[in-house]
Amino acid sequence: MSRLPLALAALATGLGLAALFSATSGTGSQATAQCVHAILGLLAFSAVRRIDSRRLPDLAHAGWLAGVLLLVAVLVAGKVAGGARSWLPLGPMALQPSELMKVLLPLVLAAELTRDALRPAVRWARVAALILVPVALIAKQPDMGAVGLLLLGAGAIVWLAGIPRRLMVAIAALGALATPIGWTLLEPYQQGRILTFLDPTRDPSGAGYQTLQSLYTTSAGGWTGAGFGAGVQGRLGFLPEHETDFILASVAEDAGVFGAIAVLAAVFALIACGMWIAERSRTRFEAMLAAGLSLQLTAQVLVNAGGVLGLLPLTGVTLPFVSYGGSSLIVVWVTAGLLSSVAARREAETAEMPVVKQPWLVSRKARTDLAS
Amino acid sequence: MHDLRHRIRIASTLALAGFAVLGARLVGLADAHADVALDNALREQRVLPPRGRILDREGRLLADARPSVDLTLVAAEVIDPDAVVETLVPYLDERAIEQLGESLDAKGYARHASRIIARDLDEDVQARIAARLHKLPGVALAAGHQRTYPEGVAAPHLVGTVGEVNANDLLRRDRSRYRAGDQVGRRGVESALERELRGETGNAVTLVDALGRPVEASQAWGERLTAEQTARRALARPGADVRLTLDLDLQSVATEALGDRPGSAVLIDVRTGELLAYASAPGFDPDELVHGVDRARWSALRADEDRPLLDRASRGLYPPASTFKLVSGSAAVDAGVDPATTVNCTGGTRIGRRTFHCWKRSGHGIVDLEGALKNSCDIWFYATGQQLGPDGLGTAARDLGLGTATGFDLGDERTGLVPDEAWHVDRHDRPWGDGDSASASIGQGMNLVTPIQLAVMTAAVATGERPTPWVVAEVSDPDGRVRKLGAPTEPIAVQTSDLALGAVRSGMRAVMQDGGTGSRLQIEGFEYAGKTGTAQVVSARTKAAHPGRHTEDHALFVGYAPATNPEVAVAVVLEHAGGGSTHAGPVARDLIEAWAVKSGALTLSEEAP
Repeated sequence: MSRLPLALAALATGLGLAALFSATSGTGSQATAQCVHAILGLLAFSAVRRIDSRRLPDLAHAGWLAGVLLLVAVLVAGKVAGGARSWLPLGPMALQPSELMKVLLPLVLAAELTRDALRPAVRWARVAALILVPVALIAKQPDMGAVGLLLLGAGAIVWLAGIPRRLMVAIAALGALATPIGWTLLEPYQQGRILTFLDPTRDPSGAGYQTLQSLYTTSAGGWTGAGFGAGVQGRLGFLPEHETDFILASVAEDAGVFGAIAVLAAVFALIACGMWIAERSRTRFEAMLAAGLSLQLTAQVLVNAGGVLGLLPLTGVTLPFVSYGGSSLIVVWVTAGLLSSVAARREAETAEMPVVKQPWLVSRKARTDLAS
Repeated sequence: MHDLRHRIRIASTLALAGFAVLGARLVGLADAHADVALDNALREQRVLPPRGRILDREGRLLADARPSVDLTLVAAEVIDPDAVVETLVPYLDERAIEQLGESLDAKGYARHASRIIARDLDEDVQARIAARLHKLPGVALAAGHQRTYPEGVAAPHLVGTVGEVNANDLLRRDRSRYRAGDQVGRRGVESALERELRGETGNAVTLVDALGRPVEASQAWGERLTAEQTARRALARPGADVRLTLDLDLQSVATEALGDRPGSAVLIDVRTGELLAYASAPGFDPDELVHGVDRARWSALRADEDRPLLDRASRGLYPPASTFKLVSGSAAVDAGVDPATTVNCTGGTRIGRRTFHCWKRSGHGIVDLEGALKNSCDIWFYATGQQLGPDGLGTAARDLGLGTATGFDLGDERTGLVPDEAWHVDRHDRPWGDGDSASASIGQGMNLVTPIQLAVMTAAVATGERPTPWVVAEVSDPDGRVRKLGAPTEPIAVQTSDLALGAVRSGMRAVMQDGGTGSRLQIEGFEYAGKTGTAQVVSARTKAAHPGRHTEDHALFVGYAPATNPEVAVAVVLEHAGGGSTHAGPVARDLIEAWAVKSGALTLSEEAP
């Protein structure tokens, strides 16, 4: 079981690299660079999977603090690209600390929410701070796509932990109140994206251009695609960001709808594996960690693909494993490493207890008792 | 722990549902907009063909398409509109500046189309703009074609001109063929044969990237695009040449003889109906209209009281005056009046309570039909006109081609007016009396005719058959393949008897003899027949009280040549010029003489005096 995340991550990365080579053939070196990122990802994976998952709760807060410090550093010394100060120069590469937070935040929340002996009020205040501090720093860059994703992931983990109903109602009410205020806080181009999502033909050569071109590109490949490297839309510049945010449309153009479904299925397979690991975990922390990481990944896939396919507003979020980008790829490999670590721990425990060789034969009650 | 597992399962289900939605959406998008993506990279540009030429019967150029350099603009490619305006304005006229503003403000798809801002730039301006093009993406100098009229002033009304297409043109024509800024035929042959002259628009297809820059298709990814590019590409087909029946030599004689005096001269082949000359004066310069005139010049043209834009030959309406005596004379004979019947002209006659005067107050003495035509005596026609009445006169007039369309192939002619009794009662609210018959019989009633109708009437008198006038001899592709060949319409035999026509013809020959009203119009060594006409436009008293241009008589002349075995008929009208023999006659004389020389019927004496 612990080898499954490696296999699935490798499959998704392989498909992603193939997609990137196809989309950029003859035009650039991104695909080659992405190979280097994949190797770095693999290294990160093997480092992370060696960590004993029982030690993770102790490392979680330190990791969170490191992530927050990097976010502060990026605001001070970061590089601006695409209108946001999101990159920290790091030799020949650039680190995107907001990507790191997609692992560090689920980790720290899983640790915080499974700690005992805290008064509820103190616990929820701490949870709110753990979420809002990095989110506020990222909002300052501004990278609203990352903000949205982290809030979605954090929300999912908090919900998993079991949140008191009254608190949930309060947050929902606050959210409803904040919507009109939030609208006025958005930049005009962000408002435009939402209006355009509601009607892409509103401004076909302006705000609606990307969505329309994305839909045209997705559809241009038909079922089986134009062929490897035969897509035109991105190559001639009609589809912007065709190697990053809109890579799924490029995949569809080159490899057809079948190809795009295959890529999504590979990513989903890793997510399903993560949820499976979560369900079988021995401790609340491990279950929360595996599920939280998987849901964080799910949110990112749905938001990216939903935008590309015109089902959600565009947010500038990458497609895990497939979009070009070092931080993004390395972080999903770290995610896979953590899942693998959790799975390995369960295998180790199972081995220690020969009685329960076939846990599915044991009643749920018995399993729960064994675990605690 | 139990609750947690339960929620994990719910979350897994939701995640699966999310992926299912994405998959369904992808399946729904397959092929849904497949062709739109192709449109992105294929920029299609219309290639306008050169317009067909217009030639006279001998192949001489009346309208040509000369290569030109035009200034074009693609609004979508312009980066700095202000710089474009600033740079170009010094070289543009008022209309082009207007066009530039409109093009820059274009919306939607129009932004991607190439619009012509100014046509036919002169070399100096070309050079100055070319030197600045690198700073002005979206602006280009493009090869085009400029309509020119090498013999422009000879036949502007018949040949017509071209102008930029407007909403009115689109109402009348196949919209899909035209875009804003295209040229379309206006007036005359240019308008009537627009479809043939225009040719087929071509389609040039370029492969471009998102910034509109041309790109080379590579084998790896360009296959579909190049295939589509080839499929959409279409060659422009040049417009067809149109040859007319017009003879430029004769046309020029007619135009020059008329000069700036408002009027018209038409020369028609009596057997076939071919128009050899078709002139209206004053004219205009078609080249000036092609280049586009500003509002002030256009208003001046429209407001000019001589109405240079009016095609008088088929749209000018005039009282026929004494030329109508060809009708009333032949009608009288067919009503049983012997041509030899004489009347004593004492200069006036009493009809009812009014005295009707002959134009010659001292009288012509005893005259028969021939004599009455020769001297244009009114009294003979007063007497016979009363017998004929409105029906007799009207029937004969229509029989000889008045009051109805001649069938001229360019259309757009006026039918004139041959009144009948009902019309008269309706108009004047009193019955048709003998006095009305008398006035009508000398062409001073309510009759109105066009010069081309007069020419047809004269041809009918000369031959006994009414020809249908036509001018489009041949439409042929530039490679010489004939697409349409003009042919004479079978002439219509008139009802008027040979006896009656013979009597009128001998009267018309007499007109040109010594003592006749046309005696001063004789051509030495060549005989032709004619009839003068002087149309009073106001009563003699008013004319005396208000002397001036607008009270002066219209001068008319109709004739055919040669006097025996006639081949051509002529009609000339000069507005407010005075007597027919002294003003219209000489124009007709020049025209007939030129024809006679050209056809070999007349050899000019070697030594001019």
